[in-house]
Amino acid sequence: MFEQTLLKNINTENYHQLEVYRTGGGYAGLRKALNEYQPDQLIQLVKDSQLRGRGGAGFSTGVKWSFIPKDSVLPTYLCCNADESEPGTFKDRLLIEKDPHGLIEGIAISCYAIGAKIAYIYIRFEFIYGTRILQQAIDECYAQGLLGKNILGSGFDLEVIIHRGAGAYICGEETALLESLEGYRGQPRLKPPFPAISGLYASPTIINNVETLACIPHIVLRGAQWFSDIGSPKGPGPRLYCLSGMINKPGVYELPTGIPLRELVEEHGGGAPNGKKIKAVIPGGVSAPMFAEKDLDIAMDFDALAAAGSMFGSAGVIVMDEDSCIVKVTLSMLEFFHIESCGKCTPCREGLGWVLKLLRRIEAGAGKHGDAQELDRLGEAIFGNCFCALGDGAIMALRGALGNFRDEFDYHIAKGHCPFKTESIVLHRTRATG
Amino acid sequence: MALIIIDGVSRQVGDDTLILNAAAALGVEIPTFCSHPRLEPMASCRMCLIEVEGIGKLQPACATRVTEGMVVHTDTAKVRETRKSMLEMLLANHPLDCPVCDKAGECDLQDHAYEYGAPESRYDEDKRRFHNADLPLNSVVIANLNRCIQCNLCIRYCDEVVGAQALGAIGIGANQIATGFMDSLAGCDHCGNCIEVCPVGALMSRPFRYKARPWDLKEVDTVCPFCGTGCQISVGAREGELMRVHSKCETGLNQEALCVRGRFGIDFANSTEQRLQQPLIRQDKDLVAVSWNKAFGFIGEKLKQIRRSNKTIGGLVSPSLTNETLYGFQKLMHHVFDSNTIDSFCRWPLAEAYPVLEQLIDRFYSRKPLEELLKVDRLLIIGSNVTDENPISEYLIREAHRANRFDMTVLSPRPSRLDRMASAYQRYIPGEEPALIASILSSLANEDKQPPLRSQSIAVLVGTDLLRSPGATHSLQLLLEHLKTLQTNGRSIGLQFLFDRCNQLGAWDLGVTSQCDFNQMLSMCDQGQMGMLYVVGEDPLLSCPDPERVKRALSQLDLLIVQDAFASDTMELADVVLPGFTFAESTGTFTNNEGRVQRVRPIYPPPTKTVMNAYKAAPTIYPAPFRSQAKLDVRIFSEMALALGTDLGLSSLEQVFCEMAATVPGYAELDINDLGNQGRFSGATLNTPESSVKPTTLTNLECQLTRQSVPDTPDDNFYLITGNSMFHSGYLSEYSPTLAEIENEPYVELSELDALALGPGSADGDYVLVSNPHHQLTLKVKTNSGFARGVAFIPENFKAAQLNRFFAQGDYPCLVKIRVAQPAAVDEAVGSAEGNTQ
Repeated sequence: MFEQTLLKNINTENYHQLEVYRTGGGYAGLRKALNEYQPDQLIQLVKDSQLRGRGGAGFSTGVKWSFIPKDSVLPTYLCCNADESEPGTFKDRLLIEKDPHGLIEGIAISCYAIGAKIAYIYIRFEFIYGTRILQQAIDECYAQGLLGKNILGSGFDLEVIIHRGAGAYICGEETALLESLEGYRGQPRLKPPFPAISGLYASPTIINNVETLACIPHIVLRGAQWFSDIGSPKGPGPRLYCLSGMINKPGVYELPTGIPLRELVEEHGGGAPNGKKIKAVIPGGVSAPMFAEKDLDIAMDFDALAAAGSMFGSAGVIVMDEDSCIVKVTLSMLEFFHIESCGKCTPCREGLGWVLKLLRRIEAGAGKHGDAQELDRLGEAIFGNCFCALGDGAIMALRGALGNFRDEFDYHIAKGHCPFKTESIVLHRTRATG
Repeated sequence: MALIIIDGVSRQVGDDTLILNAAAALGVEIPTFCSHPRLEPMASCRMCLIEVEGIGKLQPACATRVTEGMVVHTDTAKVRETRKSMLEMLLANHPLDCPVCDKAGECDLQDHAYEYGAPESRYDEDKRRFHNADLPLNSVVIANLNRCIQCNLCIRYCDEVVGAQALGAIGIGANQIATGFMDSLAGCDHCGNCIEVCPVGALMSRPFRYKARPWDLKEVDTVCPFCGTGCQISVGAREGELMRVHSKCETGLNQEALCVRGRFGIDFANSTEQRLQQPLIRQDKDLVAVSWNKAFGFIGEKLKQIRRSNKTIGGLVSPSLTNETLYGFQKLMHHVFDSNTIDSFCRWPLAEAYPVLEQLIDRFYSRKPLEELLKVDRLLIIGSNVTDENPISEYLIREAHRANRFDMTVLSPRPSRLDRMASAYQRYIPGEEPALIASILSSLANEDKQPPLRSQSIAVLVGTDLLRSPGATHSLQLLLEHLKTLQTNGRSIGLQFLFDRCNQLGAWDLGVTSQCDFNQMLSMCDQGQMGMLYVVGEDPLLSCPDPERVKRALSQLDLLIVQDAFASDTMELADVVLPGFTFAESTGTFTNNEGRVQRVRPIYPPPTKTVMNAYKAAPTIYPAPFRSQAKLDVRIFSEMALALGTDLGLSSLEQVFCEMAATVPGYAELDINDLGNQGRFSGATLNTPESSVKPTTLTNLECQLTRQSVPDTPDDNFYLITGNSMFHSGYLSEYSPTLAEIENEPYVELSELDALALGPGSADGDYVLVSNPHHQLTLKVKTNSGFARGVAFIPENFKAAQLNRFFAQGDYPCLVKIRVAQPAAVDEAVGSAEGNTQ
């Protein structure tokens, strides 16, 4: 039986308060790390746990940490990526609001491991409540000697600074996050050099997702073996799944990796409301191509999803029922990507605009013969040629829809109207531009 | 070195070479929009994507560095298809208004679309549109942002090269626009480099817009006549009319960059109003037009009298003229007038300093590219607001600093952008330099007594402000002695001057200096010892301190010859006025601050009658009544010498240059027809025996290091200093309509706190009265937080201001009082400024 770890105390009253958190055994992980581990041993521990990043790319956290140069004269930084903006993803927000100390403890241990004395939490602009809770938690830690100089008498110093973003999705991309943190326009940077070598202020920098960091204290306390025994062997551990869309029981679910998608949406999520059939499911945030209902018997696992042409991403699972219009869903996804495209590279900036204009026409019933092929062709031109992953993500989303539900696009183009009566889910989001 | 294979051809290239450059070396062109040789790679346009074996995704050639054994393909189906796609996407929002776009014909987007694009677009949707009418950002830059392809070259260039950071981006995604704060660039440098680097017609030159097609322009490559940096410019003229100035990537030290004066100020040459057209001689107090022969005859007659009276003959020539003119002039003075009393400088006295200068130049002057000079550990800049005085040198210093990370110390009475990058900077009042130089250089000599030395190589750049200062001789002596010490201690030393006149170094190289400077010539006039003075291209009444004294002195002369292209104040006193050519008609060479000898070519045919006929069919820059008899300066010298019975043997440009090369040792290797597009470097020219310099020991020099030359100021006084403004250089730039539009009136620049202390009505843009017993001016206030308290700056470039009246000879900086101006005086000042613009 799977035992909840990250969300174990999520409903404990006042768990965001340091006193309550400590009563439940909080900061034991930090104490253990500081007392029993050398930084290198911690990096090895995390490597052994096979923890993979929970932000979307799924890169091995321990390996990432080991890229930090040992002999650098520059300071090392840790940036916690709390710019959770992938549509359909809301797990980090829950952790920040309900278990801020779990995150801070994870940050402190990680900083100790990589030799950072300053950590930044780059938090999404809209997380106003979360920012307040997190700041209170940090203040408590400073007061109790859990942050600041000489933490727990170990001689280890750490400053944690919250930086609020300015509302751009692209700033969740790690190098754009760094640009934004430094005060520049939020646009991704050229890689290499990778942030671990030259990141924030051209210094070695590790950027980890909130959920990734929240796993660290548990790995320290319970060992790498415990962690790697959970779920899929190649990407183990507990995972926070965000269920949303046309589903009976939306919410954040902590379950092991590798759980079948069908089980996740039908058993845990209770299937689509009003007894309707599920038509499609996006497995990992909107950038992950959707699966048709027939393909739901797939393990929620980095490798299995990648092999099936989709991705685990941020584990934001979005469900569409049989009345959802895939064209409309695709349109709203592309509206999002287009609005959030930073404009740096040509294919993403111009190409997505073009794709969007085609989709708008198709959805409005003004599609022309050949528009679907045009979408294929544009996808071809954009995919793989962009500066960062945003443009590629948009095309993956588009391809997921076109690949599985081409008939719906063809219907819109041929008949000039939508076959579905009810309103489908709309991810549509507006934003002041200009 | 790494061995790479590009399109089947293998080659050794340096480690870390960008694929783009490696391919270029192999003759393989890879199209780009956002890449620029002077900027950090951005890799955003994705036009340069190429295949690298072993890497799945296409890689940007502009940002990917070569590795050993790399195999690159730039001409595969996938690459071709991607280029086609990128162009199609770029053209999606780009208005296809090429027929009315200024950039057409030299547009990267057009060129690449022609070469690599699809024959037709499948884009059938609406295009983005920011505005209908073009958006003027300032008096020289106008934007059509609908055409912008968001390569960010303008923004990056403005930041990385110019250092102005005037341009920025607003908006996100396809809605991003490049613009200035509040859609205005009114406060920017107006250098127009953003226009030059724009690959499309998004940023355009206002003076040039809608005037001509690039392919209709006849371009002449020449050298900018403003400051001593010596940028190469290409002047485009259509049907004989100057249309625009730009610069080519592959020519000159400036590599495409120009400052506002070079890019927009050359149109001073179009000014005909003040041009001298005929020789004039004074008859019964009036200047009357005569023929050249009559003028020479008049000079001959006068000369006989002067020779009989045994008086001295002196010459003053502008350091903004060509080497050939300068050489011709000194030959004329030596051979015809038997005179050794010549100077190329009348703004401040340097007679005492000349021997030191000669030794300093002889021993330390580095005749090599500035970027080579700046491959050092340490840079010391003394006495220059480089940003305003020599903008392109400043760009080069900024780029060298980024590349070499040297330790930079800036000593200057005025702030500049280099302060921000400097490890240390110091404001001072002219006269205080010796103390600063001594303390900095001696501490440098004392640091790291043991090898390895922290500052192994040291470069020193000396600006015009140092020469202007009353402490100049001291400073130069100290500099010389300290540099010798440092050199003895094993440091490599490089030195260059940052002159504000385009051929100052040339003038000194060619021996247009003497033990007697212009100030001493004036004293000789006063004492009745001077019989004749020949002034070429200078206007001492305007630029020499204490014009009343100059007037008195020059009135004592038996013969004053003024030779110039434009009417000057000094002409009022002249007995003979000879019309010369402007820069635009001149031919020859300039030697820049680096010692680089570069070719000056005429932009216009000489405005003589015969040539006018040849151009009758087309409207030319010279209006019909303009019938000039002006001649090339060196030809005037030659003809005058002949009329006076001597053959100078300077009948052709080649002849002058050959003789010059034969006479001046450092120019021996040069051939005027083989100066190439980078110019050629002159060698060391002077050979001063060390004994000619008064021996000075450091200790007794330092005893004199007090602020002796700096007068004490009562609290409400300001030290008035001067120099060139960013938008003007010398006195000719005022004739440029474009520069006059950008800055049409003199101003007084001072610290914000001082302005505040003057009370209400002294904010930026308000008018104040600047006065001392000799002169007063009502001027606009410009505040600058970088200024030291108690220092005020007024640019010297505005003739009407007669700034030199403030200064008595040797009194620099002078004391002035500043008060908030009375309304009536403000009205008058505003009125005259408007008059200037018209």
